[in-house]
Amino acid sequence: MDRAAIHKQLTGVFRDVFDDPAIEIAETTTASDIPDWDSLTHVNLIVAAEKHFKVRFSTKDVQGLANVGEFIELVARKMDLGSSKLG
Amino acid sequence: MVFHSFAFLLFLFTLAFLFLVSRKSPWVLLGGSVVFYLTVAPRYLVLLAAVTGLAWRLALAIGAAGEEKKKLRLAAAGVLGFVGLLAFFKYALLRTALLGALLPQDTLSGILLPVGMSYYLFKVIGYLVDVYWEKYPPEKSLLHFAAYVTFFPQIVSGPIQRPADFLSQLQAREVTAAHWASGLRRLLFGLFTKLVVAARLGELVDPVYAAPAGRPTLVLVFAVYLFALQLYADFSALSSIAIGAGRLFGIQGPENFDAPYLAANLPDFWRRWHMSLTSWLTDYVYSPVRHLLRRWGDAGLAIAIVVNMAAVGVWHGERLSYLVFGLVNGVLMAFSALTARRRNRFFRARPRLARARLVWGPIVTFHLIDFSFIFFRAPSLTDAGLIFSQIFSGAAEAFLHPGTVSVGVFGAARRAFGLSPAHAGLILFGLVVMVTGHHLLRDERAKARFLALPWYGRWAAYYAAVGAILLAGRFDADTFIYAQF
Repeated sequence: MDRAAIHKQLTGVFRDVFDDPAIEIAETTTASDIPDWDSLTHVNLIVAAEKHFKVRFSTKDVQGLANVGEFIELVARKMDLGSSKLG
Repeated sequence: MVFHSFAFLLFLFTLAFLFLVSRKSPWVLLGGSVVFYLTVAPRYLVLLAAVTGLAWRLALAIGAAGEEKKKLRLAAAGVLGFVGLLAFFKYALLRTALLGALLPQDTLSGILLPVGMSYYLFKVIGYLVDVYWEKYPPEKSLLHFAAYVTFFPQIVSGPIQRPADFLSQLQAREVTAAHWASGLRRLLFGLFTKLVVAARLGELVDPVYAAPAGRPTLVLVFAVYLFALQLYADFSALSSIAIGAGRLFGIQGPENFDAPYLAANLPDFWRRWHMSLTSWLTDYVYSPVRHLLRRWGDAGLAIAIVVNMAAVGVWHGERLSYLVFGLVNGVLMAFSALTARRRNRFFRARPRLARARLVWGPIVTFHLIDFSFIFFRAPSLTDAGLIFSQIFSGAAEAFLHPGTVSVGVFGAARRAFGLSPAHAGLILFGLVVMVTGHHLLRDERAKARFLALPWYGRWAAYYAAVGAILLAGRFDADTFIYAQF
């Protein structure tokens, strides 16, 4: 899956988690741009993304995330790893 | 040497002068911090030095280790070792369990928590975890790292500044007239808040909590309300002095408070109260536990919140009432977090109620936190229970026999406290200045308006603050509430 597709699907995950169908995310979006995105909801986001993309993140993976761009990067990396293991 | 003493001011300004004439040498900063620590806890300087050196070396080893497993082993060893060290000094129960057979009980219970240990160990634990998480590479300079861990304005009671934030500022070492002006303003504000507001409120609150039995309900209720103000004044003063002193060395420390009593709900309160500790615990306790339990759904969320708040409670000490304080907050917060989505939907559909919620949310939140402070402040769980039962039986009595309640509640409370109108006026004046000061700190536009006043206007305010401290300050309050943790 390419970055654009991940971005599009991740937008759906955000809308679902934050219960707001109008949310738009950019690569530079950070937690401070979305009012309900705090330490409590962050894990919901991680779990929802894990379920949606069928990947697993470690504590270390999700600690370094500075913005949505890095989140997309992480999903892409994990999906690559998954597909190379399968292949 | 306590922060609100002339000795500290003399030390601070001498060191700030030496720092400037030495062309801002980190050696001067480290030397000053060592001298400061020698004046507060000389016996434990070796421990501070050992922790600093060990953490620095461990982080380098984590950075250099090739294998993930080795990195994890080193980080885990460091974190567990430092947590164990803190627990050993903090909890007499643990010392007795470990060494009870070897050493007499008097020796074990006589060991006091070394000054600042809760704060400097949190700094190094966070640092090791960050290096393991590869948030940044380990610091190569032992001098800079030691200056960070031992930084004297923050060592007694925080704020817990993150390593990357401190070290980048130490690297730049930018000290300008603006740093000094804002630093001195903050110091003055901190001293005023401590000596006039917190100390004067303490005069009223401390005797009530020391012997709550048999006190009239009204006095207990007022003491409970006033303690919320005293604690906020005392602790925010400590943070203000630490932040102000840091600025004289070009170090901007993190803020610890963001108008906490205006919080809309309990999770919001804990994001705005003792922020440098709660954000630390969020990163290194709550988030990892929550991540680990993420497949457990709501139960995982509730457990992570309760574990985190229990940690907030026992961080303060081994008294059972601290644990209860943390657990009460944890359970209420878990309830708040689990029902937030449903409540938000409910209010979105009812705009009128949503507007009212803006008012009652902070009021309910303040009362929840204020009543949980009874566990925090009371000397024991029994005393806390006594205060609760006396307040509620008194309230029930007043409800059943409304004729017995005096209409002038404030007047009655003032008389019950034995407070003269002048004393009450002084406290009110102090509170107004404190609230205004905090507003100026939070609101950039209000701050700009104050700074745009002609110089004599600003100086009138500064002289008024100095005059109030000298005239009405209470200098015999020996320490800050948070210096004991």
